[in-house]
Amino acid sequence: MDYRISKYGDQRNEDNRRERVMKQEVVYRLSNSDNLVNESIDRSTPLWFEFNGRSYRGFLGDTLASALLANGVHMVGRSFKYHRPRGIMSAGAEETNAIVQLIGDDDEPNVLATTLQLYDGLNAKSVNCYPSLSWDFGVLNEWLNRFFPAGFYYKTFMWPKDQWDLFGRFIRRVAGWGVVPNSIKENRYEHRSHHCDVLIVGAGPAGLSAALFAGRAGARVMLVDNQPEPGGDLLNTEYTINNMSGRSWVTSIVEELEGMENVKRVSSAIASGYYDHNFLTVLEENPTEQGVCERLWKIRAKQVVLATGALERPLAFADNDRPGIMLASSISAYCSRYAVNIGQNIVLFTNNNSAYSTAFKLVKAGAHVEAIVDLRKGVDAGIKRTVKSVGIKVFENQQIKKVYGTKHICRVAIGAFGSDEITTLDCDLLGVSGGWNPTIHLHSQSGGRPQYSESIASFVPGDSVQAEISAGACKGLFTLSDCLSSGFEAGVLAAEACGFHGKRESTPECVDEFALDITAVWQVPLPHKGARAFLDFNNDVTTKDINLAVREGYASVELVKRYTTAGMGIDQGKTGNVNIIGYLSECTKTPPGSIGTTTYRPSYSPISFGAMAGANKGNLLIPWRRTEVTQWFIDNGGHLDETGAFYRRPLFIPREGENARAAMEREAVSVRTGVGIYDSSPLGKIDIKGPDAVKFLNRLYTNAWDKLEVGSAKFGYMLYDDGRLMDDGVTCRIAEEHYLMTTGSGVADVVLRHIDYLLNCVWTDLKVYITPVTDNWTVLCVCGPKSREFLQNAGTDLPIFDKKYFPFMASKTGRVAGLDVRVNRVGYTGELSFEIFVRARDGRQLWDKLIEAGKEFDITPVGSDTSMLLRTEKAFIAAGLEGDGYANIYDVGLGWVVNNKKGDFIGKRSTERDLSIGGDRPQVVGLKIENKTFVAPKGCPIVDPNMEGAKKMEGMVTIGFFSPNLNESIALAQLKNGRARMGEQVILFTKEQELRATVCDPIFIDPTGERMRS
Amino acid sequence: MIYAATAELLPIKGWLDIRGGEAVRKICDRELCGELPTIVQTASEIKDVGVGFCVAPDHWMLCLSDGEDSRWEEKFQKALSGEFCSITNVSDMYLTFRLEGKQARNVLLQAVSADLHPRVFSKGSFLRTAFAKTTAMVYQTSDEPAYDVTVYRSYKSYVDEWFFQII
Repeated sequence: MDYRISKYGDQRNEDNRRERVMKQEVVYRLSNSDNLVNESIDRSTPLWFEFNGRSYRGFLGDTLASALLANGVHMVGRSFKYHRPRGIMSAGAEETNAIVQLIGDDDEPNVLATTLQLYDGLNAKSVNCYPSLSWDFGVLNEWLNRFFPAGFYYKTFMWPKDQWDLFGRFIRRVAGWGVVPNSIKENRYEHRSHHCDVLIVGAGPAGLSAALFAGRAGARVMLVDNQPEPGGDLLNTEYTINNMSGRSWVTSIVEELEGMENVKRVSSAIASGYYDHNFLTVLEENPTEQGVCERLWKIRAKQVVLATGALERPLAFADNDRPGIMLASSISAYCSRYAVNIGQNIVLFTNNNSAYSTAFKLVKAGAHVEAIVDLRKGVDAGIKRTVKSVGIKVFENQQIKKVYGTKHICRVAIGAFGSDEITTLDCDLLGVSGGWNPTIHLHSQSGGRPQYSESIASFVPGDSVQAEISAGACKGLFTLSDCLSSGFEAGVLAAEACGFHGKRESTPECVDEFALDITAVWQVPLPHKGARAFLDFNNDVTTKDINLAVREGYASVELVKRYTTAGMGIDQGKTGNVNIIGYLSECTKTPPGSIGTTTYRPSYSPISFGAMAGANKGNLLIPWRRTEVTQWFIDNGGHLDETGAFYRRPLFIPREGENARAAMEREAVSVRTGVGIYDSSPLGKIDIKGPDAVKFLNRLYTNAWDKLEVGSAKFGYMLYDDGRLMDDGVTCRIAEEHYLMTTGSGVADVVLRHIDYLLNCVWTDLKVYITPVTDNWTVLCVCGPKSREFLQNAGTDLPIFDKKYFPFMASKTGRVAGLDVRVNRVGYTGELSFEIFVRARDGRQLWDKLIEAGKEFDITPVGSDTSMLLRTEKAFIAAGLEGDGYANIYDVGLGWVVNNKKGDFIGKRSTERDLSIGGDRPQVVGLKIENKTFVAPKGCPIVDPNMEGAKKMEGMVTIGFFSPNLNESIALAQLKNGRARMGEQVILFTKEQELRATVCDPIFIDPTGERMRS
Repeated sequence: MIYAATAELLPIKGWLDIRGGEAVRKICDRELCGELPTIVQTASEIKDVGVGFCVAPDHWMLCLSDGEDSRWEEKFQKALSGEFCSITNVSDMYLTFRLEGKQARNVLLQAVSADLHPRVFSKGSFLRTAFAKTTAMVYQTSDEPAYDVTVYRSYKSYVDEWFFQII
């Protein structure tokens, strides 16, 4: 039968095809009868979806997996390594086979079909298969499986060595679970913080009980559950609680919880991580807000109740991974919640009693269970009687010997242990139950150490490390009454720990199912040497692989995991881990409890990158800061780029037809010959007040501050404890006990943190307060020989032509262009400069007025890169470039800033130590490049031209430019013993060429400083 | 619009940054004819003046209407003459957004990790905290709820964009 719907077919053809699909579906979908009291689908809302190019129908409330099963589709993918056909195995987050790729607008890899809620238009495809799921070339790996045992990649592809690149490319091409989307999704992801008294993870019977008590007691409760509706296993089974059905009990509890303003319930939300200080992350799918696809909750809880339930595990027998073999409980879940009758002839294979409960439920729901094959001897007579009474055969002390069918099972051969006699049972569905694993992942993530419990042959939570209580099945309590009572108890303890005391009530009455009574079987004997039993389906790890790892010396569970990849991957060993540990215990003859578990790490289930990023993408990825003038640069074509501290500043402002270099050269020439204007607002600014401000500056900077007068400014350099360069800047004295410090833009926060720490923790004797005021001021720097005339023209009451009143390093208040300002006669270009501080709200107004007034002077707005060129010409040292974390203040030629007589300052001891050791330290020098067209790149190595053979690095370029003012290609560089090497020729060693350069004084322009002092 | 909330940039306000010990606070209280809060991360309304915020044991922010900042700065400087203190006019440092609406809390919780539940954060509550990728002072002005989110001036466009995209 062809179900395919052509994209180009007419409506009638499509209708006919859809009709055929619906008829097929009827076979697998149980009728809407009274037996299905837990049915979660809305049959009145059909949804159409595509899988592997075929069109199918499901209902609202279906998962992709339940809808596929309802359409008779079991086989959904191929295994990772051997490309074996794989079918849906479970009904929840533990799924290890049904991993699909969403395609189309919702393009996303690694999606679990068992948790993906169906929606109209969903389009998914299988992964790990080419060209199709049915005919996959990758199956070659299965035929050659004996060459691909565990750790094969450590032993193969080793020769020839130079071909590894080729192998690597090939392996990367065939490996992987899906394809990363090419397009950027417009989906909206959110983060949201939440605080609560009690966080309850899991809304099964235990979780609901805990929430009910804690809620009634008045605690702020958050109840999260990974299912779309609460109830947990109560939705899969017909329980009776307080004389009402399990579902009715759930409804009544949920209604009560909904009525409590102190309780918040979140569905379809997986608790993915449990971190320190009871901080948990929960991923909510499709929140109620329209347009939000995923929300990552960041929850801080005073108490956490883990009621995460338990996951059934498979049995390890030959070919246990064939499509049509599922976890027994999931058959029941699909049957009761989604009304899917997956198999017409079901056989169950088990080592415990829970499969009997499952069989009973299936029969009650209308399914046909042929037989139960039990590995145990002496199954409880009462239980046997019960299942036999509904027509189910029981085969005790028997095992599955062989599974028939590759792409779907059709029958199984069973027989007694050690016997060659076999019985064949026809079946189209084999349900397996190897026991139940408490979901201890979050407990383990919280720091707890799981303990092995012989009675359930699995691990249970150990002592709590954080304020966390486990309850219900995740604590190893599998009967309903135990789950309810432990849930209530956990709710009581958690609420009381938060100071909420409610009325203790008796646990609801209920009827329990059969006790587990498990006999641990870690591997069912294999019928022949070539047979393989899978432990980790996700990574194709077999019992043989574990054996091999042990034989090769990897006996620790952590080493086994890494050698075989068992327990890794998308499912993180949810169903496989305990079987792996159990089988390892057999191989090493060590009790499972002594082997222990590997460390569970977040996240519990895959989380999309979108959810991790939240809103932090696009324009919100980086919190770009703006000055008051940024918009002017944008409007006038400024080339903006990140320049530190989240500022995007113009590197240069090209005129029409200009390239970067031409713009920078024009701007640089203009500053040296006319007047330029530069937005220095990002400079860090710190207000310093207090009677000990001078003492503070003396300790912080290398030079002395005692003689700085009010109305003057001074340049200072601060060092780290180790004597390396931290930052430089100009500080002006505003009043007797009041200073305004400026710092480098990029390190403004670093300097603030540094001095805040010093004042609060180290120099508590100093009476000094600091206040960051960076954003309070717009700073515009007018620079160039015509600055005075320009400012005069712009209008100022400051006597700027009075060189005695307003000399270099003066700091005065007055008015410029009609606005109140502070003007410092300092700059970063080496020219006559005026730094104008104005209230930020007036910043743009001042800029506009200055630009207007500067038209007759051809005032040139200058960018950051041009500023760097100008400072290079003047050898103004940048702590982040010439100071490379090794150079000290003497190395960079700033010894004149150090005053060793004034007493101690930060970095003094280390600097003196450098001096006492001596040696050929790198020193900052200038370089003139022989080839003027070449600009030396930052970091370019400098080598000695006379050296033969292997080149030895003598230094490196810290910055290089073509200087239009000198018509030279110049650079600053650190060169070993550089100041003694003036006039020497060196080689700049680049990838493309070797260039000759001459060592020279680093100050290329105005070495005496006449211009800036003019 | 996903959330029933609005965010609007308020006209510039006056801000004074006050540092000092107990004696300084008492003098300020006397001048204000009101009380600066004494518990960190709390606020108090000062009649006819504005709102005082305690950001650290020796650190207050005083929010005033624009134009009042210089007058109060001068007044404090005069009253505190001789005291070890710092009064800094930082009115141009900050801009304030008013976030209000039925779902304003849900919007704010996407940027702020603090507990904003009405049991612990209600009208008059204040905190200085990380806000998305910057920092902010958050002051709840009504139980509607409505919040004044005060951020550094240079982050205005980022915060504006943040509100636009989230709401």
